[in-house]
Amino acid sequence: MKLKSYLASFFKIVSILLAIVGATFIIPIIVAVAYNEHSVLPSFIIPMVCSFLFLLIINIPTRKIPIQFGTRFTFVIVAFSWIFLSLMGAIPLYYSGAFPSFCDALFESVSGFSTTGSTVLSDVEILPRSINLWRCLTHWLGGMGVVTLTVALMPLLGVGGFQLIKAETTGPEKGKVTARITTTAKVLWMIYTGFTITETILLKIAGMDWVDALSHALATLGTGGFSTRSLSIGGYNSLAIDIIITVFMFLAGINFSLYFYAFSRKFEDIFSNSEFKAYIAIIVVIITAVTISIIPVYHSAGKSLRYASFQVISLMSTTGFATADFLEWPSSAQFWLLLTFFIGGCSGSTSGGVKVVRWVILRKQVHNETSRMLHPHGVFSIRLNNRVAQKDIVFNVVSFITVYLFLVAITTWIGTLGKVDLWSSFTGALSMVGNVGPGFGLLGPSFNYGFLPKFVKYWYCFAMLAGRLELYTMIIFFMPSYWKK
Amino acid sequence: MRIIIVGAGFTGIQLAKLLVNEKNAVTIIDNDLETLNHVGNQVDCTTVCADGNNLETLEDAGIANTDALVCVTSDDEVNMITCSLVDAVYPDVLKIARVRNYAYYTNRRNAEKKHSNDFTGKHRPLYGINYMINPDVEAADAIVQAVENGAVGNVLTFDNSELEIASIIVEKGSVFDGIALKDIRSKTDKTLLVSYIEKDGVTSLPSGNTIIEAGNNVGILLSKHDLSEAMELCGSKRKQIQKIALIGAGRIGTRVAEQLISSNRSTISKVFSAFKTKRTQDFVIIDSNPELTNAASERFSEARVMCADASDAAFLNEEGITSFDLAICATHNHEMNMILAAYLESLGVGQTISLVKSSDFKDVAAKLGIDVPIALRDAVVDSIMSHLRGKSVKEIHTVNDGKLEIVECEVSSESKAAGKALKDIADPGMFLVLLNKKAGVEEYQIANGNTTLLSGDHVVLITNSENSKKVLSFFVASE
Repeated sequence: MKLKSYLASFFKIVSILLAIVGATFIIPIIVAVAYNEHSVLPSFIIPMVCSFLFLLIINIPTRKIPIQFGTRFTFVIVAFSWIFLSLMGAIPLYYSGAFPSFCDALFESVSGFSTTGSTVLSDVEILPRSINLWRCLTHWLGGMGVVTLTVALMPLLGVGGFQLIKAETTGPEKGKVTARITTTAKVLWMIYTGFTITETILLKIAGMDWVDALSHALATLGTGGFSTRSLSIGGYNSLAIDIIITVFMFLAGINFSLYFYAFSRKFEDIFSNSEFKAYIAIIVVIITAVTISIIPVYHSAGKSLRYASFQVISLMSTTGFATADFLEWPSSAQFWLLLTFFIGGCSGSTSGGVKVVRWVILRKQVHNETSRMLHPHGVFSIRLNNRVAQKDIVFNVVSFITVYLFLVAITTWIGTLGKVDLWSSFTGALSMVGNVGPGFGLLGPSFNYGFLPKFVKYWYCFAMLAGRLELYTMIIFFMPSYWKK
Repeated sequence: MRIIIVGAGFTGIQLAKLLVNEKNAVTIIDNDLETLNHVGNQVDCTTVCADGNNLETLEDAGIANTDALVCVTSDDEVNMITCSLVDAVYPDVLKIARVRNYAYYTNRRNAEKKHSNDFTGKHRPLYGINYMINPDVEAADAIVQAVENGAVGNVLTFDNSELEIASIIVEKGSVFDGIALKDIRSKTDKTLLVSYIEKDGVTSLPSGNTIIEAGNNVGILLSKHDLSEAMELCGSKRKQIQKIALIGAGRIGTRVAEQLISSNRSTISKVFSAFKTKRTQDFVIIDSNPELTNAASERFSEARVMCADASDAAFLNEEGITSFDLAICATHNHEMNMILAAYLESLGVGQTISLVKSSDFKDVAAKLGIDVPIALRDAVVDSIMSHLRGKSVKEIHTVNDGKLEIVECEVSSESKAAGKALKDIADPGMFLVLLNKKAGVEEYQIANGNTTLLSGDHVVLITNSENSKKVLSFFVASE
C-alpha cells in the first residue's frame, strides 16, 4: 500500500517535471518557425506532446492518491528526475539529426542540464538555431534546478518540497529565504529570470541578434558554457560583449539568496556573508596573478586584464565560455586557472565545483587547529556570516571533499582507459565533476569531447550529474546502507 | 511611605532595615514563622505569617493603603504572580519583583527605548510589574561600571555627567597625607571635593578641618578625566586597561562580556571591523565548564575562550594571564572568586574585580587586596531602593554598607533651602552638597560654599542614612 502511493507520487512528480520541461520546448519551436527550420519542428513537438500525454496518463488514474514520500525517497525522486530530464533533453538533439549518435546527444544534454557546457561537436554554427537555443536553454533550466522550478510552480508538494530542493541545491548549509519553500523557490526563479532578461537586452544592444543574445544570456546565468559560435564568445571579438558576459558570469556565481537580501534591503546580511567576501577576494587575487603572467603574451595591460578576467571568472563560476585559448598562455598563468577548477562558485548559485564556502570553512578550521596548538585550553568555534556554523559542518565539508576527490580519481582513471593522456583526463575529470566545461590538454577550450569512446562519455554523464547534485543525491544508491530496511 | 515586602530572605530583611531607618512603615510577609520571629527581633516592622501570593492575605496586610509592594521570595513565579495579582486590583501600587530567571526578565528601560512610540504610557507595566530586578543583571552592570571606571575601588557615576565619586585609598608618601581638607586646593589645580572619609572602619562626612592620613579611604568627587591625576596624588598608579581576563562564563560573566566587548564597537565601525579588531582589547574568557565555554566561544568571536581551571598556575603562565591588566572573577562560587582574585593579584595581575556575596565580604575582599569587590546582594538592594524613592529623587547610592547615602533630588519652591547660599544652610556631619545643576542646564557643577540654590535646581548630596529622609524633606517639598 505504501509502496503503491510512493510509486504514484514518484511518477506524478516526474510527470509534472517533464511536462514543465516539455512546455519550455515552445521557445525553440517559436525560433524554429521564425527561422523556417521546419525540419526540426517534429523533434520538438513530438516529445512535447508525449510529455503532456504522460502527465495525463499518470495523473488521471492516480488523482485520488495524495503525493507523499519519505526522506529516503526524495533522493530517488530527484536523481531519477534528472536522469529522465537528460533523456528527454537528448531527444530533440538526436531526432533533429544534429548529433551522430544518441550517446553524443545524451552527453550534450547532460552537459547542458548539469551546466557543464562541454560539447561533442567541433562546429556548432551549422546547427539549426532552434537546436542551439535549446542547448542553452538546458543550461538555464539545470542552473537554478528543475526540481526547484517544479516546487515553485506546484505548491501541492508542500513540506516535501523543501526536502526535494535540498537534494538539488548546492552548499553545505541549506536554508530558505522566506517562510514558505514555494515562495522561496518562486523568488529565486524570479530573480534568475530578471537577470536573464536584463542580460539578453544588454547583449542585443552590444550587437548580438535576439536569438544569440537570449542563448548566451541563458547559458551565462546557468553558468553553463554552450555558445552558438564555435569560437565561443571569442568569436564576437567585442569588448562590450566580453564585459557584459564577464559581469553576469560573476553575478551568476554568487548565492542567489544574497540578491533577495539586496531587494529586501538587508545589506548587512550581504556584507557579513563570509563566502561572498572570500569569492571576491579569490577572484581579485587570481585575476591579478593571471594578468601579470600574460602581459608578455598580449603586450598590453588592458588587453591582459580583459582576457584574464574573462577566463578567470568563466572558470571560477564554472561557466566555461572562452575568449582566448588559455593553453597558449604561460604555465604560470595556467596554474592559477587550474586552481579555479578546485574552487568553484558560491553555494546557492548556479555554479558547480567544490564551492567557495567549503574552502572558507576548511581555512577557518585550519586557523582553529593552529590556535589550539598555541592555546591548548582554548575553545574555538567556526563562524560563518557572523553566526555560529552547525557543529558538525567541518566533518560534512571534509567528507564532501573526500568523496569529490574520490570521484575525480575514478573519472580520471576511466578517462585513461579511453586512451586519453593522464593530464587531459585528470583535468577533464575535474571539469566534469565540477561542471566547468573545458579542461587542459586534449580537452582544452578549443577542442571538444567528440573523440572520446562511448563508455567514457557515459561515465562523464554520470560524473556531471553527480557533480551537479553535489554527489550524495547520485551516489547514495551505491551505499549498501541505503538499501537496508 | 507604606511598603509591603513579600519574602523575608536576606534581601527582604536588608531592604526592611534600610526602609525602617528612613522611618517608613514596613510590613514583611513570609510563610515561615521562625524566620519572621527572627525578623521581628531585628527590624522594627510588622510581620505577617502567610502566603504572600494570596490577595486576601495582602488585603489583610493593608495593600489598599500601601505605596509599594516588593516581592523578593526565592520563587520567581510567586514574585511575578503576586505583582500581577495586585496590579489587577490595585493598579496604583508601585510593584517591584525580583526575577532571577533571565528568561522572564524584561529590561524596562530597553523595552521603552525600543518601543518609545507605542509603549510608554499607553500600556500597563509588563506582567503588572513596574520594575523587575534581576540579580545577575544588576551585578553585571556593577562590574561593567567598575571596569569602565578603571577598576579602582568603588566609583559612583551620575547620569548625564562627567563627574564621579572615586573611593581611593591614600597611600604612604602621598601629598595628601597629613593635610587638612581646607588646604587640599593648594596641592592641585583640579576641582576635587572629598565627600567622605573612611578611617579605621568608621565612615564620616568630612568638614574643612578633617585631616587626611595614609591608609584612609577617601571618596573624591571629581571629573572622569582627572581620575588618574587624583590617583597619583593619593599615591597609587593607574594603568590603561588593555588586557582583560574574565573568569566565569555563567550568566553574569556572559552579560559582562557582552557589554564590555560590544562597547568597543559602534554600528559604523562594524563595517570596518577588519581595522577595528586590532584595536580592541585583549579579552580572555576562562571557565572550567566545557558547555559554558563552548557557548561563550560561539557567542563572542572577538574574545579568546579557554576551558581550564583558572587556579592552575601552569595554565595561567602559559597563557600569560599573570601579565594582564585586569582580572574579573565572576563565577557562581563567591568565595572562590575572592580567593582567585587575591591569587591572581599576587601573581602580578594589575587590577582585580571580584563578585562577592554580600557587603560583609567586602571587607574580607579588601583585606585580601582585591581592588573592587562587587556585592551581589547589595546590588539588588541598591537597585530596589532607587526604585522606591519618591519621584523627585532620581538616583541613590549607598556607600559603605548603607551607612552613607548619596541622593539626587530637585530643589522645590517650598523648600527652605531655595534661594540660599550653601554656606548658610551647611550642617557639618549631617549632609554635604556635592553637586548642583541649574534648571535647564545639562552639566552638573561641583558645589562650593558660595553656590546659591534656586528652586528647580538639581542637587546631589551625601548624608548619613538615618538623616537622609530629614535632609531630603529639607530640599524637596516638605509634607
